[in-house]
Amino acid sequence: MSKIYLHPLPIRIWHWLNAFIIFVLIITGLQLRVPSLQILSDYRAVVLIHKYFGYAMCLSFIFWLIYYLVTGGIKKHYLIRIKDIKAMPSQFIYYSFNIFKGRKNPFTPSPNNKFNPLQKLAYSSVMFIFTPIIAITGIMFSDILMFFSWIEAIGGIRVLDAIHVAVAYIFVFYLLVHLYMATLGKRFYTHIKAMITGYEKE
Amino acid sequence: MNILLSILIILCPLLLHASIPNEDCLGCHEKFAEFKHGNTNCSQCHNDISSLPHEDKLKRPLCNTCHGPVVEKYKKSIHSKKNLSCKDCHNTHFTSKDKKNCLSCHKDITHKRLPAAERHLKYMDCLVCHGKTHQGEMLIDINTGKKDIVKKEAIDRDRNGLIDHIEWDNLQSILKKELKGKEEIKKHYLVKIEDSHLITKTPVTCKSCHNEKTVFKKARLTVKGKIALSIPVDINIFIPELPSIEDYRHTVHGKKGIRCADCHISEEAISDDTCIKCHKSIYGIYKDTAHSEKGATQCTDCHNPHHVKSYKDLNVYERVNICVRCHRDYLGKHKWLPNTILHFRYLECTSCHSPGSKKSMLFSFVVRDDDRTRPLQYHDLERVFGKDVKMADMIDTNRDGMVLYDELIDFFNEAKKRLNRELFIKSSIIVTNPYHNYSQKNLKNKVCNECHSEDAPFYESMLISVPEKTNVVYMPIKKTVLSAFPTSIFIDMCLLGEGKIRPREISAIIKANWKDKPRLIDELGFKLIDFIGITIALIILAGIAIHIILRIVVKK
Repeated sequence: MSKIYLHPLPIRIWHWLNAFIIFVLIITGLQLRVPSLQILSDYRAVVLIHKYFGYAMCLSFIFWLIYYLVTGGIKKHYLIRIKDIKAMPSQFIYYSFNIFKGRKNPFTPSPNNKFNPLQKLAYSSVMFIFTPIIAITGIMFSDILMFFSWIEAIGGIRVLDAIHVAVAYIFVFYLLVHLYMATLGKRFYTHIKAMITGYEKE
Repeated sequence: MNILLSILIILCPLLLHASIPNEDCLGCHEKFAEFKHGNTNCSQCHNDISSLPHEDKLKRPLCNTCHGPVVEKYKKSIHSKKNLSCKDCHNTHFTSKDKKNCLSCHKDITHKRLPAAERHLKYMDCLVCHGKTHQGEMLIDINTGKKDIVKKEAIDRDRNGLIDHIEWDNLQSILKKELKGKEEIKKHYLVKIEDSHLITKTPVTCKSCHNEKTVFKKARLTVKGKIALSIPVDINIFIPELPSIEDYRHTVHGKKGIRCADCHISEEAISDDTCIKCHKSIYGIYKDTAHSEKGATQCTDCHNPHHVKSYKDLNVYERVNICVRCHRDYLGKHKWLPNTILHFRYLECTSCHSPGSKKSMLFSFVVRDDDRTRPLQYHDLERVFGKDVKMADMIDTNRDGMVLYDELIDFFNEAKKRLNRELFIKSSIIVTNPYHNYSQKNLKNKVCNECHSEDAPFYESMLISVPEKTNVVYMPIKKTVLSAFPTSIFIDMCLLGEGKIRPREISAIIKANWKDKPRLIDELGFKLIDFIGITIALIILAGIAIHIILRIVVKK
């Protein structure tokens, strides 16, 4: 059994920090949406926590982007190629059927290509489409008056709210799947351990 | 041709009499040695001198020989009519000496009848009111010293290129905090005097500045820090509108037939006793409150009896302004409130500070004229919908007394098309039934969820303000307009914690006929986001559950 070094230290720190930020944003966002939930008693604090954790998420995203732009990780891990699209059905079949039959995962991660085609699709869309959208709409919410003309341009405050919330739901969908799929390693904790130590056992 | 003629007329006397040099005259008239009147010499004005020595008795020189147009204008002025000649103000032989100004003659002028006389006379000279002016402008200069504390974005919060009342108050709040009152605010009232000779009998009226804005048309703010920035300001902040008898007739008091003498029974200022004659019950509530005892002790401290508008006619800005006259640092004191300025655009003070009042969510139509928005008036609608049209019937087409979302869409689209300009629906949360106890303080711990909740009181009273010929009518409007598509897009209100979709709304759609389904779905509008979102999340969770079960089963 060999070990491969999949997740460098900066990315592991980023991942867990980002996970914490997103967890706080989802919880506070949920209370902002449904105030009667009363997760925290002070609604004003919820507004401010959501706002400042939103800024933190923007910074964490910028760190991730710069790190992977400098190290070339975007091209290696996130760029979806034709062969990835062709391999998507077999990866889907593996997760839906073959996994129960104990068959081997058609994809083997390596330090130069650590995500399978479905992971690439999920992570790329989250990182390059949904994170920027939710960050930009969130920043517009942080000072509605300052961004008033922009908000008018996209169709008003209600449309801004709709975009922000719809993308927030997509984050929740993604998170549910992501959390569950993290348990699909050799043992249920294999992938999670890899994100802590950096090494994935083959 | 006219120009040529004028030049000839001016030059004629010069050509005819240029022959006698000044030195020859000064031989006898020594006291005029320092004579100075433009570039003229003696014989150009004393033009009946043809040779020296001249005759003993000379004709009086005529100023209009050269200054024809000015003299013509001057003839219309009050000074001319009072038989004052040019010489009474101008020393003709030494034009730069002994120049007279207004105070030379009007020494003891008191302006007793001018309200706030000291303030008016401090900033403006006589000709602003008594002369003919044009292109008047107000300049407000704020010197922040070397500190560069305010950026343009911080001043013009909504970036509409104009500082309005709230933005001005916000700037005061920033300056107070940052400079602790050391900032210099200078106001300049600048006008171009068209002609100082044309002083008419009657000065401009108060209305010219305060209502019609014909003297000072615009105002501009310049903040001088490290970098100077300059931006237009709403002139009404500095030159407030005044009540007039015409305006009074449109106030609640005026409409109800209350005449001047009903309140002004003597020359003394009116007291609460005058108001109590009609408003006894309100006074009963107000007089024992802490606010009354410590703050505004008289009715007129808050309510200008000449400007009494119906509550329905006051927008949020006007309502906030009543309180702000005393509570000037209201923005600074509400810094704890996230999005302070935004709140004050939609809320009046008493929405929170008078718990006994009834709150409503009020929608009103607003049109945009040349980058400025203003409330839609009845005459705008009368112009496009016909004379004496009843607007309530135009909107509430099924006449059930409730504006439904599709009625609002139809009216909105039709009005927008006919008016041929940008139309919006503005929202606010205001008091529609005031309770005169405004003593509630220190609300920061509990207030958010009173409004940011599905159970907020104003959802029970949703109204739309409809301008009618003689008054403004509040019509009940169905709550679905807030989320329904597309009304919710042209309504500028989206509160955190608004009502979410309820199971009965879903079951109503399921049970409805196929014909009604699209309408019901439209009516749910943006609420569907949560429905779709939660449904997909549940499907995903179900998928995960099945996956887990299969994994366990297969492993066994």
